[in-house]
Amino acid sequence: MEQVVLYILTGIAAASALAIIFVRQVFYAALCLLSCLMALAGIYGIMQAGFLAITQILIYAGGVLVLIVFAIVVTNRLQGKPLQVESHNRFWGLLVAAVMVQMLVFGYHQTNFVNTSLSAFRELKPMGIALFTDYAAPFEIGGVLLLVCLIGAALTASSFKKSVHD
Amino acid sequence: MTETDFLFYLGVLLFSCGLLIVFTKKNALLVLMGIELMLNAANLNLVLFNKQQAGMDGLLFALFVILVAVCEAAVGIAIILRVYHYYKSAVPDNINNLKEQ
Repeated sequence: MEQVVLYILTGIAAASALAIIFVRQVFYAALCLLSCLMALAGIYGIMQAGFLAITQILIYAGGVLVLIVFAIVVTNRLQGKPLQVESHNRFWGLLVAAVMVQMLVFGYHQTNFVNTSLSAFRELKPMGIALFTDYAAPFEIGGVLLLVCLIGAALTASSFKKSVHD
Repeated sequence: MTETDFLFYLGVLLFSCGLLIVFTKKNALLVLMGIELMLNAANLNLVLFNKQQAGMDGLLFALFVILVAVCEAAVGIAIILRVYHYYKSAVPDNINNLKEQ
């Protein structure tokens, strides 16, 4: 049962990732990205990484995707027509992607991995403890980074014409 | 094909899709989406290979990757909006001068 759901979610993620390449309107691409990220959240859930699944849904679907859709809407208004996207460098892009696939698969087959099952494993409590003991420094630095980023993004996006031209 | 193989190949597919999008698309927003896709592929691998060893370093690292990805997306979109207002274009190839002549 779990395996079937896993395969379905993998299919959804793969299909919507491929759809982003072929879709022509930017808004549809954003929707495809949303479904891909949601499917990934489901895969995390099946892999017993529930906290990561929740984080993925909250942050990607609730934060990043809303930001991207907002940016699409704003840039739409400036141009007056639905945002279309064209592609260029098709040959070199395909070449680089194919080389990357080749390298990753080759490296994977060179390494001997233990075939672990997706066993049950309670991760929430030790994760919280680790976040405030062993990983306290990165956690705090991450918080400061987030604050700095938000202030910087707000300052960058807001219009400061007066201060520039005075 | 085991589940580990399967999910690894999903990660490979997502990463190369993201790379292809970054290389070929002509819109800065699409490029940003491609970067998000690549970061998610890396996250999937971190979660997957976390199972290979005891502990949860992979999960925590994935959490920090998500955090940095959010920062990157916020700043990136702010810059894209700013550039859009100035140049009336989001095609990175068209933006080739720092100052108006």
